[in-house]
Amino acid sequence: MEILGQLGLGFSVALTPQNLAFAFAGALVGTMVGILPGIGPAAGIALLLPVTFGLPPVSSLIMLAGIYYGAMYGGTLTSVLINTPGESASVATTFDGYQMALQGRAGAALGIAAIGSFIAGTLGVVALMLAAPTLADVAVLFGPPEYFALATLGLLTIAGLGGSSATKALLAAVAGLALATIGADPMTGSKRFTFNILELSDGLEFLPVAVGLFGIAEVFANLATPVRLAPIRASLSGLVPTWQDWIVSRGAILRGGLIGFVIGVLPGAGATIASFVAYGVERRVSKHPERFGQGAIEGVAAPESANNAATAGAMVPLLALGIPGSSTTAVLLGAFVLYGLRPGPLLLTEHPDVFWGLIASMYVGNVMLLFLNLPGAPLFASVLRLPYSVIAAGILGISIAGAYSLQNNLFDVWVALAFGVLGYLMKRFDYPAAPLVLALVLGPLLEMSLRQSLTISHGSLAIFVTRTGSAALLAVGLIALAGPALFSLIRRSRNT
Amino acid sequence: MTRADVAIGGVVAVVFGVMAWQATRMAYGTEFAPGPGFMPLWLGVIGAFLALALAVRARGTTGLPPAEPRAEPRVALSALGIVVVAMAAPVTGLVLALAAYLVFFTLVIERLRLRVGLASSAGTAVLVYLVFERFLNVPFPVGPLGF
Repeated sequence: MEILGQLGLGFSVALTPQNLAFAFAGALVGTMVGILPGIGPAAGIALLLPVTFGLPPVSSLIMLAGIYYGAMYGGTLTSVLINTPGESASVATTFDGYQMALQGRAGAALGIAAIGSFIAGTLGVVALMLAAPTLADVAVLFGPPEYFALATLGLLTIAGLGGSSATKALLAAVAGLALATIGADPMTGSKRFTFNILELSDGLEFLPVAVGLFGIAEVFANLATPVRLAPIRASLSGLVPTWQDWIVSRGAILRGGLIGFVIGVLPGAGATIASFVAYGVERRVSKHPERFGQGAIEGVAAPESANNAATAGAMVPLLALGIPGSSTTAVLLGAFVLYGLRPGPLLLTEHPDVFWGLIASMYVGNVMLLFLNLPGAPLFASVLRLPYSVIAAGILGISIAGAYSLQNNLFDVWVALAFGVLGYLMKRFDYPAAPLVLALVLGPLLEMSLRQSLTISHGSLAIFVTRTGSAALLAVGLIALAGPALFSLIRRSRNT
Repeated sequence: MTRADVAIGGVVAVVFGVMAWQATRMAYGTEFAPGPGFMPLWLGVIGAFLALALAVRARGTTGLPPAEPRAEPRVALSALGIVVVAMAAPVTGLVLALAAYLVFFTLVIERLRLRVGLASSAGTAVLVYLVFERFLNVPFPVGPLGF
């Protein structure tokens, strides 16, 4: 009953005309971000963040969260129409979505994706609403060792699951932690790696870094490997699924939603892995697995449901613990911090309007997205006719102006450029940026909790393994890091 | 992995090595309480170790990741353009510098048709001006034209 009361407070915040408008704007921008290959939700949020300065924090966060889950809806369109996912979380959708479009069933694919996304997204928000306060109650009992273990778990998981090479991902994470040490030492105030540059005294600002890595770097990367948009001429009629489509897909939507939420909660896993797992599970439980890859509608419903539920899942550790699990939630955490808010167990008690307002807005946003995406699909498809170069000019303009506007200082433009070049090189040579961003955000928390823990234990590292919570979290992190390598070793030894 | 990882691993190992060396100049801390040099030192050591491991593993690999012809010069020119924007903005004003850069980017780098390039550059510059300077009151550096 208490949750319903709190949710009522949330709806009283989310349903104001201003916040409804921001939720709609977020959903709309998110859909566009999802549609356009080469710009992801992290970039969308980073680019829009400077534009939200001066707005009430809750309105801004409602809009930025809308971009996140809106992008999952939008990513479907390109997956189905041009076999090019707008988002990595929509890659699995291409397997059957594009085949359906070739068979003249693009409308049905987009329709079931929108409806599946709505159902799973809404169920995901219900689960978020129930899980986040419970987890926050537990997190109140956490001390520095548990927070150190949590931050480490996030980094190890993203390194283990995030890319083609765990060594490269770990290196990126260590680089992010190293960058986080720039500026005043959080405990003694002494300067570290500032090279007598005044602007570095408080450390690297997160926004120019995010704008560089996700905005400018994307444009540069596109110069090296251009996005070619060539939509097939597909009929978008029949967006409302037939009864038969619905019967075939309903199980996939529920399973996808469940898988998506659970995987979304895990730090470092996220919507992309959730969508692949959901697709794989669906093929395995299907009575006709041979239809998968040939245009099976449940092959669209499952990954699309999973990636939407995963966004709700990813908000659980962010809101309840203050620990982001992906680059997008890391940028969202950066947004919270810019507004003077600290996600975590105290957010619920200190800013219930923000916490519950955000959750309520996700219910509202999912409804908006359903009505945006079903009738709006043909309109959104027309966005694909826009040359990427025009979009790139927009990204560059907003990136430069956005970086400047943070502190009204050209130094931040230099920082954005430096990270744009770094981000480009990382993409070019296959180094994942997500661990770097996550480490940059988690770095201060990780260092503080490590040093506090060692002070409590008089310098003994045993504190991390003698406390049940931290030991369990570190063990999970190590399994996540070593797991993929161990599985492939076991598989190889079985095959030989 | 490609042969570029050997060079990248080597360079990054040196950077982390320098970081660890710099960290030795900071207070490492007492026996019971780590100081400001504690984290950077260990990060430098771990980073250098990982970078070297990467370089060693990449030995013997060949090739580079595929890219468009003349990709690197185009990226370098685009980045150089932003350098020019940052240097010129205090004199010309940010909006004007940005508009000039976008014209260069769309017409020279991206080779858009003249009308499309000019329209998208001008459109972006006007949008930036209206949103940031007019709506958000961001005090951009102002040039002789008053914006």
